[in-house]
Amino acid sequence: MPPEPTDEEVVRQTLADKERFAVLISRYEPKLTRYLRRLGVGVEEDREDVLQNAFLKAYRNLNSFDTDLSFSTWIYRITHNEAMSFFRRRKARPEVSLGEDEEAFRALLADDAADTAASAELRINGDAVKEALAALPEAERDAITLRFFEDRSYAELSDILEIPPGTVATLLRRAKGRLRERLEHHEP
Amino acid sequence: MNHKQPDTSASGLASRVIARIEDEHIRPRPRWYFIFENGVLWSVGAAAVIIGGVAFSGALYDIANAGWQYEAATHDSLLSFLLDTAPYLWILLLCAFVLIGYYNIRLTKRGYRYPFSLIVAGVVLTSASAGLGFSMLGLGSVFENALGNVPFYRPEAALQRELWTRPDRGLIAGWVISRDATTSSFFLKSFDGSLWFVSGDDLRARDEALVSAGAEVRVFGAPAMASSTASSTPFHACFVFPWGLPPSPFLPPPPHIATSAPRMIFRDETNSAGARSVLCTGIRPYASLRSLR
Repeated sequence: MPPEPTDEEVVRQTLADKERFAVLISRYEPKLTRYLRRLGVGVEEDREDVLQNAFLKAYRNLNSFDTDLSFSTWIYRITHNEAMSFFRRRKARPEVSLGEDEEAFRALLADDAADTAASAELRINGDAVKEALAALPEAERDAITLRFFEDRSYAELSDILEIPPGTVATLLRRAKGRLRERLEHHEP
Repeated sequence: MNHKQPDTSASGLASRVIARIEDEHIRPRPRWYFIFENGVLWSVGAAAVIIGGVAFSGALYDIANAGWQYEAATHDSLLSFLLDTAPYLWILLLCAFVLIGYYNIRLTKRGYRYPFSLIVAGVVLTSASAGLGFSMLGLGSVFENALGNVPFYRPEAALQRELWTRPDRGLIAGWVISRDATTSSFFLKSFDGSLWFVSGDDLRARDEALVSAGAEVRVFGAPAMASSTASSTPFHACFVFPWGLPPSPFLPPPPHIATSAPRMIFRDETNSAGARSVLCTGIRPYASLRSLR
């Protein structure tokens, strides 16, 4: 069985045959749908609209795809921007939805606290996490979502959010500090 | 129309996206479009940096020609001098073009990777270097003169004329019309068109050397009534300075420096007569102006 073509190869193929774009859509639809839910696009129809617009935008701009970035980073960036436009149109951004990510997030945050010798045991419940995340400034919340839930590196965060790597580090540091502070207040 | 069917394994979303691409005849924008777009952003960024350089050069010209030497005579404090002579429009232009430069560079393909402070510092430093280069080529005055045509802008030269057309503060400046051959007195037509009879009893050799028909001079003297002109009380002069400013050590002289009197060597300002009269010595900036000698 021949190896699966890489995303970058499929991009090249799509420029010659638009039907190949379906391969990329199929690869990224589940991940991006989850990402949109995490960003706060709660209604399924809205998620699909945002995603459809994101893929159409990606198709239109396929020639601007820079192979220095991975296709994954590029499509996340486009989807993120589409989601932000969606929130702007709606003039509201709902709270984040953690769902099944809650456990993983708790573990990550606790690990990170241990790494930095903050050492306090974080015994927190789901509502407290949601509340703490919702209280974060938008930019910090986006950074946390990408870093902890989407498992993206700092460099990828920089490319997706189109901000300097140093700013990514600052946003995450501040966000983690705020989260810890807020969650520690919820300790029994 | 004979469309190829989407991949049968494609999701519902993929089918819908491909269908919209076909129905709306969407095509990927050509590669040259993005190259051109990036090129335009860099070009506008570069143009903004160069115009920022022009603004820097203009500001430098204004600062160099603000009349620092005479600050004690023209203003009551250094702060009021700075507020009066700061090149606001040039600074505003520099800030505007630094921001335009930043914005364009930020929007280029990799622009987002650089922090705001780094891009702004880069744009400011490049503009400053360009501006210094323009100034060394003597273009500062050209830019200043060009901006002089802009409505509501008060050129540096006009500001200097205003500052030195205040007889009530003992400041007049203009052209020497004629000089009395036997005394040190002379007629001066000030920049506002008034004719003054200037008494030179308190002038010294260094001052007198500057007084010749046609010379542009600044005269500092005893405060006079605004209505005092040649037809009434003479203006009592204490010091005469050339209208042109001495050249800066790193910038070429402004064009009007050419009208300055030739450099003369004097060992002592009191070489023609004793101390100046109390009319001059009692005036606040006397010590400061004397130090210019």
